[in-house]
Amino acid sequence: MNILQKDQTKAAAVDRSAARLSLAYVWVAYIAFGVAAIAGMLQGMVRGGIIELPSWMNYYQILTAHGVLMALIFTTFFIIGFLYSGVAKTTGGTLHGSALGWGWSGWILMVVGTAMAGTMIILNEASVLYTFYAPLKASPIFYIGTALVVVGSWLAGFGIFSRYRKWRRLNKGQNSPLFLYMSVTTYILWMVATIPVAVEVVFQLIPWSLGWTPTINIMLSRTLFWFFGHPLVYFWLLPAYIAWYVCVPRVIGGHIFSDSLSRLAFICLLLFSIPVGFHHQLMEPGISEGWKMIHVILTLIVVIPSLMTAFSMFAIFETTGRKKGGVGLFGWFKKLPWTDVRFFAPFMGMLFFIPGGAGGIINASNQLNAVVHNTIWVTGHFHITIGGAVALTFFGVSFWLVPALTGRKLTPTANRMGMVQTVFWSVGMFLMSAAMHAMGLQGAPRRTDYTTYMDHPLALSWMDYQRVMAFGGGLLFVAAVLLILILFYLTFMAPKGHEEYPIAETEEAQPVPRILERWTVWVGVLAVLIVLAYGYPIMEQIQHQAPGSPPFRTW
Amino acid sequence: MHLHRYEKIWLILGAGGLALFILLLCINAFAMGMAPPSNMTMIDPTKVTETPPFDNPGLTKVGDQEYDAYMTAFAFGFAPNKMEVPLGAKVNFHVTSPDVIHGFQIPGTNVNFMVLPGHISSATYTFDEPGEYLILCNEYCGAGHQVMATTIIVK
Amino acid sequence: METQRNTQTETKKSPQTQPHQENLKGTFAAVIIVGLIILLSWFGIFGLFLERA
Repeated sequence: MNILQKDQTKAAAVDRSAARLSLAYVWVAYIAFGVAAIAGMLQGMVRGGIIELPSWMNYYQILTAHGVLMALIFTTFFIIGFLYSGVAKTTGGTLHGSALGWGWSGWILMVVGTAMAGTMIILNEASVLYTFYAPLKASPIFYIGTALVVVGSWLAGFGIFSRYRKWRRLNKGQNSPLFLYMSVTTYILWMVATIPVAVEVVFQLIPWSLGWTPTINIMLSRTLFWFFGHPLVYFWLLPAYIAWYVCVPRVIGGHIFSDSLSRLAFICLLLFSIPVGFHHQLMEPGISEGWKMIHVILTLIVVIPSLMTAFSMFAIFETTGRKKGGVGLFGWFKKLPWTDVRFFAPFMGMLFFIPGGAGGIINASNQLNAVVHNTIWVTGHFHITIGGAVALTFFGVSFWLVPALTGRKLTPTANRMGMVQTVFWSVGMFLMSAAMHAMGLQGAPRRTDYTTYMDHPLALSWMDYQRVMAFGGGLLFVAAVLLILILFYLTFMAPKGHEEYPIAETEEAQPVPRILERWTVWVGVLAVLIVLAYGYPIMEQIQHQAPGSPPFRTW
Repeated sequence: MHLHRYEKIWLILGAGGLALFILLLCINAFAMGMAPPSNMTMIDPTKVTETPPFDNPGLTKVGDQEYDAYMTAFAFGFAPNKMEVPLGAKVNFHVTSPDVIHGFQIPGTNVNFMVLPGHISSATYTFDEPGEYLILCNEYCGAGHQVMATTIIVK
Repeated sequence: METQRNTQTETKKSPQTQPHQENLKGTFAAVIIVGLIILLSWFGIFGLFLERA
C-alpha cells in the first residue's frame, strides 16, 4: 500500500503538498470564473435587449460582479496557483515549509477578502465596478475585502521569493530555471504595482468610506488607481507569456528559442509597464498635455518586448515545424499539433493578441484615444486581450495542469472536449468583441445598461451589433460551462496516470548574461523610472489639489 | 546574447514604426493644436450651483459664429437640457460635475472627455453638418447612467 | 535537484546549429504581417480622428 502511494507521488509532476496548494488556488479561480461567466452572460443578454433583469437585481451590480470576479479574482488566483506549481516543478518538484506556509496564508486571506467583497456586491452595497472610482462610495467592507485580496497575494509572493532565494543558495553560480526567473519577475511587477492601489484603498478610500475623513482627492485617487491599473494587465499577461515561452514549446516538441532574450523581454516588461498609467487618463482634466505625452511614449516602448515575443513564438513554431518536415515559407505551420488542445488553446490566444496588441497601441496613442475612450471598443479590446489571449492560454494550461496536479490523465475524449470548448470560446469572443469594436467606433458607450437614448436614431442603429454581442456572449457562456465540466472531470474522475508538466529547454546550453539576474539593478532602474514619470505629477496633485469630494451613493 | 538577423530587422522596423507614431502624434498634438483635453482649472464641487458661470448653465455667444457652452453633468443628466446652434458654429464646451465622475461624448466627433468633480473640462468643436447631435455620459455614474444624455441641434 | 543546466548537458544535439543561423524566413514573413496589421489599423484610426476633428 505504501509503495503504491509512493509510486503515485512519483507519477505526479510535483509532490502532494505543493499540488494541493496549487489546486486550491486554481479551483477558487474557476469557481469565481463560473459565477462571473453567469454575470457576463446576463449582461450581454440585457444589453442585447433580449432579457430584462428581475427587479431585485441591477445591471451595474452584475457588471461589478463580472469585473471583480473575472479581472481580479479569477486571474490572481489562477496566476498564483500556476506560478506555485511551476516554481515547485522547476526547483525539484517540491516546495519547502516556509513557501507552503506563505502560500496557504495568502490563500486564506484572499478567500476571506473575496468573500467580504463578494457579499457586499450581492447586497448591492458595492455597485462601483471593479475600478471603484471615487466619489462613488461602496461599503467599507468592500474596500477592506479587496485590500485583503491584495495583501494575501503579497504573502503568496513572499513564498515564491523564499523558494527563489533557497534555490539560489543551493545552486550558486547557476542561472535560475526560466520558469522560476519569470515567476519572480512577474511577482516583482505585482508587488510594485499594488503599492499605489494599496495606498489609495488604505489611506484614501477606507477612512473616507468610514466617515473619518469628509472628502477625498479625486485626481490623486485616479492617478494611484491607474498607477496600478496598467501593470495589472501585464500581471495577467506575463503568466500567459510564461506558458508561451516555457510550456508551449515543450507541448509541440520544440525548444526554447532564446533563454536570454526571453529573460530580457520580461525585464523590459517589468520596467516599462508601470510608469505609464496616464494613458488611461488621457481624456481627463487636471493632467497637462506634456505629462500625458511622456506616459504615451513610455507606453509605446513597452510594445517592443511584445514584438520580441511575437518573433520568438513564430520562431519556435517554425524551427519545430521544419524539424518535423515542413518545407517552404509556411509549410512548418501545418506540422504543428493542431489536434492537441494544450497547443491549440494557447495558439488561439496568441491569434487574439495580434488585434489586441494593435488596438492597445491605438488606445494609448494620446489624442487618438478620443475616438475610442470609454466607448465599448475598449470593452472589446480587453475582452480579446484578457478574455482571449490570457484566458485561452490559462484554459490551455489548465487542461494539463489540473491532471498533472491530481495525478490523472488528460484523456483523448477530454482533449476533444477541450478542442470543442476552445472553438466555442474563440468564436464567441470573436463575434462579441468584433461587434464591440465596431459599435465603439460609432460612439456606443461602455458600462451602460440597455438604452435607446430616447429613441435617438444613432442609438437605435447600434441594436443589431448589440444582438451579435449577446449571441457571442451566449457562446462564451456555453464554453464556460463546458470548461468547468472538463476541469471537474480532470480533478475528480479522469483515470489515474502521469500527465506531463511541460517545461521546455534550450536546444543547447546558452550563455545568459549575469546582469539579468541582478535584481537590485532592475528594481533600482524601475524606481528611477517611476520617480521620473510620477514624482512631479503626484507632488502637484497633492500640493495643488482641487477641493475634495464628499461620498455619493447613486445606485 | 545573440539576435537572429531577421529579429534584428524586425525590432528595428518595429521600433521605427513606433517612433513614427510618436512623431505624428507629437506634430498633431503640439504643432496642430490637437492635444487631448487637459484643462487645469479647478472648482469646488460642493459649490458648483453657486459658482458663476455654472450657476446658470447655457450657451453664450462670444463671436460671430462662436459660442461658449457652460454645462454641468450630474446624476443623471446635463444642464442645459437642450441646446441649439446655427450651422458652422464653433462651440467651446466647459463642463464640470457637482457630484460623481461623468463622461461627456458626442458620438461621431472627437468630443470625448471625463468630467471630474473639482475640475473643469473643456473641448471645442465646429459643427459643419446639420443634425441633432447626441451628447451622452460614457462613464458609469450610478443606477440611471444609461439615461444620462442630451442633444445639441445644429441647423 | 533538477536544474536546466543539468538537463541541457544531457541533450546531445550538434553544437553547430546555433539558433541565429536557423532558417526563419517564415517567421520573418509572419511578423511582417503582424506589423502591417498594426500599421494599417493605427492609420485607420488616425484617419478617423482627423476626419472627425
